[in-house]
Amino acid sequence: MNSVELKKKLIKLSQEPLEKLGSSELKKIYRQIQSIFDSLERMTIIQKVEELSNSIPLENKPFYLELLKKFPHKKPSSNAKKEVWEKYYLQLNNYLDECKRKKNELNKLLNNIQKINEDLALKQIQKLKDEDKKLLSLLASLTERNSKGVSSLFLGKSKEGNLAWLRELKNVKHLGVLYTEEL
Amino acid sequence: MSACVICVLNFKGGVGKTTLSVNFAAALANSPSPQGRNYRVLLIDADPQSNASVYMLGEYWRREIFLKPEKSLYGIMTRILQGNTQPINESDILGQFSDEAPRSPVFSTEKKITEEGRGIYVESDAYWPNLHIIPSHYNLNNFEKEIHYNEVGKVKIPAFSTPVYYFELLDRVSGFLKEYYDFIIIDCPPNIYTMTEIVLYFSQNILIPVIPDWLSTNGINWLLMQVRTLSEKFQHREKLIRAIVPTLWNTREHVFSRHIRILNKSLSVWKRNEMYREILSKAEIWVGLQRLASVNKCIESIRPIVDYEISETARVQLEMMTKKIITWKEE
Repeated sequence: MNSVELKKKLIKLSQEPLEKLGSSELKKIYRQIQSIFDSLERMTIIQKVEELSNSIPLENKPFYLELLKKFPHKKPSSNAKKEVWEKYYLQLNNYLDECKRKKNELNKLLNNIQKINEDLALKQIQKLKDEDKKLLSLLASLTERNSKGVSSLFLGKSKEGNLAWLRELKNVKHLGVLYTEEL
Repeated sequence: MSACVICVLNFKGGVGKTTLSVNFAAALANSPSPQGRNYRVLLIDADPQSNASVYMLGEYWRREIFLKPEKSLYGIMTRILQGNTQPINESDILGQFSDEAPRSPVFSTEKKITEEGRGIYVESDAYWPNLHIIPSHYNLNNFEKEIHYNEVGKVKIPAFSTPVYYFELLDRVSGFLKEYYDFIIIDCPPNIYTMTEIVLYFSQNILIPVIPDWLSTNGINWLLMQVRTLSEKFQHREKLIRAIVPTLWNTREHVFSRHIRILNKSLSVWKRNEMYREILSKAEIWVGLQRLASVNKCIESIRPIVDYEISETARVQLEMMTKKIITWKEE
C-alpha cells in the first residue's frame, strides 16, 4: 500500500452508492475524513516548521544553535492544534530573522578584525561583551590542534587566548588548499 | 518528454552516494507529477559493490540477481559488447509497468531482527509500482577488463556501422529509458574508470555528496578538474554540477561548519573561473543529510527514508532537496 494506491481507492469510494448507508454510519465516516483533513493540515505546518529549522545554513549552525537556546517558545507537541503550530512557526521565523541580523552584524566585525593589525583587533575584541565574544567565536568556528586532537577556539578574557584565536582567524584565509585566488 | 538524468558522483568512497541515490529515487517516486500520477523513477546501480541494489531489493537480489548476473547492468553491458544492440526495454528492468503485472520486488520486503538477534526478511505492506531499478552485480567490475577499445577510445561493434566511443555505449541503447521515465538516478562507483565515464556521458546533472571534512573538501578540486576534462572528452555534451550535498555531518562538531564555509567561498571563486564557469553555473550547496540514527535504522531495515513521517529530520532534509530536483524537470 502507498499513497497512490490509497488515492485510487478514495476515488473509487467516491463513486460508490454511499447513500445506501445509514445516517449514523455516514456521520462516522464524515468525522473520520474530517480528522484526516485536520491531520494533513497539521502535518503541512509541522513540515514548514521543520524546513525552517533545517534552512539554517550549515556553515553557521553552531552560531544559530547557541542563539536558539534563548528562544523563549517551546516546540509544540506533534498532536498540538494547527493554530498552535502556526503561531510557533511565526515566532520561530521572526526569531531566525533576528539571528540573521545579529549574524550579519558580527560577520562585518569578523571581516574587519581579519583585515586590521593585531593590536587594533585585540582592542576591538576586548570591548565586546562576553556573550558577543562567544557568538563571534561560534561564527568563526576556529579550531586548533592539541595533544588530544582538535579543540574549538573561543575568545575569552586572556590576551594570549585571544591572540591565538586571532592568528588562527588570519590563517584560515590562507589554507592554500581550495582557494585559487584572494577571496 | 525526456528524462532528467542525475548522476550521484564522488570518487571518494563512504560519502553517502548510495544512501542519497536510493532515497532521492524513492522520494521522487513518492511525489505527485503534474500529469496526476506519481513520477516514474529509475535507479541505475552502476557500482559493482551493488549496495543500492541490495538496499532496494533485499533478499530478492541475493536470490534472483546474484546467481544470474545477466539480469543486471553487467548483463546489459556485456550484451552490447557482444553485438546485441537492442535498446534496453522493460525486460531489463525490475519494476512494475502495469497494474495487472505481478508486484514489483522494489522495497517489497523489510528486514526485521528476531528475538535471537537473527535478521529475517518479511514481506512489506508498502507498494512501489513506479520506482524501478536496473540492479548491479559484482561482475560489473570485470566489465572494465572485458572492454577493449583502440587508441582513440573507440570500440568495434558489428551492429553499429562505424566504431563508437566506449563511453557512448549505454547512451546509444537508452532510448526507451529517456522516453518512459521522468527521473533517472545513477549511483556511481567510487572511481573514475570506464563505467563512471559511461554513466557520466549518459547524464546531464551531477550531484556531489561530500562529508564536510578536510579530505573530502580537498578532493573536490580534483573532482572538478576530472568532470571538466571528461566534459571536453565528451565533446562538450552539457554537464552541470547542480549541487554539493553535505552528508554525515552533525551539529556538535564545529569543523563541519568550517569546511562548509570554505566550500561556499571556494564555490564562489570557482564560479568566476573561466574553466569551471559553465559546469558550475547552476551549482549550489544544499542542506544535505545529517548523520542520524534514523537514517541508519532505515538502511538496516531496507526501507526508504520517506517511510518516516514528514516531521522526522532525515525526511525533512531529503524532501527539501527533492523539491529542488523536481524543479529541474520543469526547466
